[in-house]
Amino acid sequence: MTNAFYEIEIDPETALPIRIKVTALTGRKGKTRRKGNKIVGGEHAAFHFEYKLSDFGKVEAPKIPRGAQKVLAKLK
Amino acid sequence: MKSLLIRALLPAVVLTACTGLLFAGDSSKKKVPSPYSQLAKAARNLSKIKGFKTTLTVQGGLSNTKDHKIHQFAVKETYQGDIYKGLLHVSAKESFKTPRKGVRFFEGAWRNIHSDPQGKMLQTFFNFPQEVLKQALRHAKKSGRWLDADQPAAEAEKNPARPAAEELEIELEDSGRTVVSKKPLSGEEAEAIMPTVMLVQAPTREALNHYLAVENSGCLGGG
Repeated sequence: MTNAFYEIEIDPETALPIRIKVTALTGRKGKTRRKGNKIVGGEHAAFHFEYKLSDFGKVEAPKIPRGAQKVLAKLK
Repeated sequence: MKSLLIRALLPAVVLTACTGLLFAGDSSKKKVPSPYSQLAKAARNLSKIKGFKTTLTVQGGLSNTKDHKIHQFAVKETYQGDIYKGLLHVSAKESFKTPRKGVRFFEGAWRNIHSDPQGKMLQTFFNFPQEVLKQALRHAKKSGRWLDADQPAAEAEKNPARPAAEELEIELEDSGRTVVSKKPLSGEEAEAIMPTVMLVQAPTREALNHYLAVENSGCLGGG
């Protein structure tokens, strides 16, 4: 059994996303408590990916070293 | 005849005006947009911005609580990256990546980001926020909901000095009656109490894909 959800926070002034959290859960047979299709407790694997976004429009183009450019261009 | 007409019409005019105010009060509540439309707007706005900074915190492992807090960690990483158009630069890891490929400087040379475990984890975990929003947007229409939609009422109760909508008393002329209406919120007030945090549920299939990606990163030790 797996669950995933996104939690997204939007800045009301700029209407830009400032926080995005992705949570992925996997149940363990006989150990996870569930309510319908949702994992609600018991032992389960959980992964949280939380992005915080800032400095909109303040980041300049990065200078990519020539060696990095060459390898990047070769990759498919 | 004239006075009869005035007597008949005046209450109707006053009532119409009051009803208008009542509906105007309600319209401020109806202004709360759908999570889908707000997310679509946020994704569109972000796509117009060339560069921004992102901090990614990854925490994974075993949990036994309702809030899915980890008690036994398999992975705990923090990355800081600059995103400029379709390129992500993680200076601490000496890496550059696009959504599909990447390079990392290690053992004295630039190599495919998948060539070492650290790079592989970075490539797997650190997705472009624009891509993550696109994924969420696919399900937002069906399963998106505001988490803080009840905040305005709760805030008003907490702070009576700043009610969500002020009450307005209108006295009907010559009738001695008083109608209590709600004063419509100004644009700024409505914006201040707008919900800002949404939850979007992904279907099981996508949840499984997320988990497989984590497993393939090698962070769980099984390769």
